[in-house]
Amino acid sequence: MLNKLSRKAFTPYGIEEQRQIYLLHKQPLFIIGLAIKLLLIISITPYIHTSWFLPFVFNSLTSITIDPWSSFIENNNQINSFPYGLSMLAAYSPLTLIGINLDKLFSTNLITPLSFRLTSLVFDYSILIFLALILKNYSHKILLFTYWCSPLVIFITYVHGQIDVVPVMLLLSCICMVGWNRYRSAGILIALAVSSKFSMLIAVPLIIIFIHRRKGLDIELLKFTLFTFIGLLLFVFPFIFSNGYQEMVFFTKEVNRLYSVFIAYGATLRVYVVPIVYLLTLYLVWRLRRITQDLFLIATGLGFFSLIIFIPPAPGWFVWLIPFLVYYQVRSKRDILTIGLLFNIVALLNSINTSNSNIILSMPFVNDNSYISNTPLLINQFYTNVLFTSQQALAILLAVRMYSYGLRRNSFYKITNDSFIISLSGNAFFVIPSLSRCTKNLFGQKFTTIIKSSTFIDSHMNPLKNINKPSENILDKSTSASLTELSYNYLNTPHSVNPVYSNHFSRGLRSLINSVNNTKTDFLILNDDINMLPSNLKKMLNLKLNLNMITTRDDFEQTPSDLHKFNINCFLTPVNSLNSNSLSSVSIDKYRFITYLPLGFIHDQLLRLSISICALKVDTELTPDKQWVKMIFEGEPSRDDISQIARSIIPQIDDFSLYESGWSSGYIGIMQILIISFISEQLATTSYSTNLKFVQ
Amino acid sequence: MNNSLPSNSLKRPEAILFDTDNTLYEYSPANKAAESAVCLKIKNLLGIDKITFYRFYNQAKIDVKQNLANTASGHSRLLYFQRMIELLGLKAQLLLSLDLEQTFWRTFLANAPLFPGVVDTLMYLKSINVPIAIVTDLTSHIQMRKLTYFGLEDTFDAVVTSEEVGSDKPDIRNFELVFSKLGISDRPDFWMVGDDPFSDIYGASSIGAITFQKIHSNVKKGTNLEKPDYTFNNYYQLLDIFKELIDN
Ligand SMILES: [Mg+2]
Repeated sequence: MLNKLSRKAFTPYGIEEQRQIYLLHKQPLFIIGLAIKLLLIISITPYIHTSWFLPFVFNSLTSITIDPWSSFIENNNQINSFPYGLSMLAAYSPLTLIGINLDKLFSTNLITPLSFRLTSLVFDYSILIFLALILKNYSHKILLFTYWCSPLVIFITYVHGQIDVVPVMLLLSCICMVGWNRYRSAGILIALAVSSKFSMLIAVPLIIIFIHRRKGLDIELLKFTLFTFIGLLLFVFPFIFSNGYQEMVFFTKEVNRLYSVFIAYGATLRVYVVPIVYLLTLYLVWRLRRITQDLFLIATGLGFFSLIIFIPPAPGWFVWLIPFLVYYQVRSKRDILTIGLLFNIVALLNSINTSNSNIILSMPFVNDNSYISNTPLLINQFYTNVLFTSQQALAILLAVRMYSYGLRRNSFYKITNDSFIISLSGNAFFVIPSLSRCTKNLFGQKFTTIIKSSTFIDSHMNPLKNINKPSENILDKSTSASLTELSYNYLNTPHSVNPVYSNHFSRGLRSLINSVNNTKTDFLILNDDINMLPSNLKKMLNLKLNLNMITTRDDFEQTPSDLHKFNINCFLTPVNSLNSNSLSSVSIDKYRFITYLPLGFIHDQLLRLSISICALKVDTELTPDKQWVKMIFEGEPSRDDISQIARSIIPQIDDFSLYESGWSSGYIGIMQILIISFISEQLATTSYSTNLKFVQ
Repeated sequence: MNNSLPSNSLKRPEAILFDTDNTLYEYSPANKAAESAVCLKIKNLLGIDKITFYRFYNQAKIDVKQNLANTASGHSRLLYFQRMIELLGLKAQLLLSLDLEQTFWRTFLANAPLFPGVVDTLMYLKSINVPIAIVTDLTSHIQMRKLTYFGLEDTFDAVVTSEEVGSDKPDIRNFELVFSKLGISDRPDFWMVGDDPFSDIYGASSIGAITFQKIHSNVKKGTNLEKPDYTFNNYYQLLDIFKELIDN
């Protein structure tokens, strides 16, 4: 029940996102784009609408059958008219139906095509909104300039008349749902996308890999695949055996394009390039252990790019590509005016030059329409080739830049070739095991391993004890304490005096290192209760958290001298009697929590949010050396408080795909926030340094 | 934006007072989100459906406001929830009341971003050394938490909540207390920025303030005695008005 509570407590988009979208509409670029689109809708009827799409939709809406495709072929004997599936028909039906009825009412024939074109605008607009929702933080101007005002999208959708905005909008809504952890809706939406246009299948394996890397082989992936399957069963399967559907949708001439680029192997054998390039893209994504949303969207864009680059493109295909290109442009703030705009224009010229984009100019409500046939811009085949070559060159350039940017943004790619190792040390033996367990819940059971270092020393120091004792069972404090004593005894014993003892100890350490090296999960929590790791193991630690008890007033007031040895320093101290000896018998709530944060590292936000969101008592002071901010917490923040603070403090929190139910209440929750903030910061600086390397 | 006064007739103000709720941020979306978070929690904890929740919650609000008309505690969510639990026949569940109150304000704050331009406006006023202060209804603790959340905890020269005075605006004592905190005269030349025609605009103009009303959805421009001298839709407009008025 608690799980349910916290999951639903967060609406997928908040007031701030709503306001951003509201402000998007106020931008001059939005109004300009909208005006251009409305003007084109009113004055231009794309030829393919009147000759292909409209007759089909008209036929389906006026003579309703269970199989519109066969019915259409029967009536019109045209098979190229509508190479799309059920959801495409459904998308264009409502407005067109209204148009047909209005036309009947006023006995004209102008409103039906107009309402058909308005449907395209609705989907085009929805793409903009979903892009905004997926991007979350974005520059309004860049988004509007690169997508809403993109000459290429405007030309293809409103002049040439392609209707690929529908599958693309469905694909984006699916991606948005995955981001919101709504896997059932995501499954249905991708099925709808595929049903509108089969090429959307390209995205399905990528989405599956993405969900797998976020959540593992688990209920989320099951939900998605199940609902995709159910969706396909509902929207595609019923028509599979229809001849009309087979002829018009399955075996379109576009399928043949897949095989049009090949490498000739001798006289007869051919290697088709597109499947290889696509598999390569899949592999590049597959080998990443964790995938951020950025990289996933860029990879999907690359998948589409590989089609554009290696297939003689159909104009509609650019519409699939543009939203992903836009995502990259908005995120990176690069290639907006230069390559991006150039690509737009060159692709636009190419589309005019090579495709039959005939249009009918129609003045509204005047029945005198003039037909403008589109003649190729360039008669000379050589110039046509040069234009095409420059389009492909720009496409390749953009793809390479997207790829390099994507990998750099995906900081997890860099660190998680090995596990990210978090060591928890210190003498607060009664808290550290629960801190490890809670942190494991937060990262996800299957992504995290807990190793307790004393287990290894223990089994080698006491060879007669059961070696295979599960680590969870030796979490109680008495063993830990005695082991620490043991290791300190060892340290204080000259090695030459006790060679057997020393031998056992180093064997224990060796097997500890082995087991750290053999860990395959993304995160490894090393419960370092012997406090004396060998230096080569120490070097492997990515985050060192130390949690100590403070029992005397002096310790409470003095700044510890070894703060720099750890990344995060935490202390617990009893609220009432600072000299009490029976520490471990008191519950953790009766303690104050102290942490020393490096000056400038989240303490300001943490203070503000702890006070405002959880109403905690917090004291802060600067240490005398002015390097650390000492924060003293008192109170019991709830799990939801902690989760809320984490969301506010850590901007990249979505990239961790944390388990919402893994947040803890109380001080452990605060330590979780510190851990995630630290990793987030470290990832940011890591990608920064690779950035520099890339420039050199 | 409307200008009912010629700008050159204005003196530089001795202080500018700001209301908080629905003036620095939009109140109703935050309140709505917070109420539905509490509703959800109640549903999960006690199995009480949405309609019943809102019926009892609204009744509790009426009861509390009746007992504590025009005081800070009359807005206390803790009291609303305590009363609601009593109305539901659940006796004194103190921990639950406290828990609901915390859920309410946590969700409220998370859904209460400052209006764009608020910080710029306040920083401008600080930069030209015009004293700024908060005069707000509701209890001190939550109002201070709010200002902390906004990052405005040391921006204002004085903060007065109606809890300190014992009575909500337009009670003049609210304004008088802020003047004494600022160390200025009893009837200074001051400006008031607020959303509520009665408590902010009427309240301040009755003791001679130049008034600025923030207009957005569900905020009606005051008329007659409640008529503001200026209205603005966003803080960049207000900043422009301020710059124009003060520079003259
Ligand atoms: Mg107000």
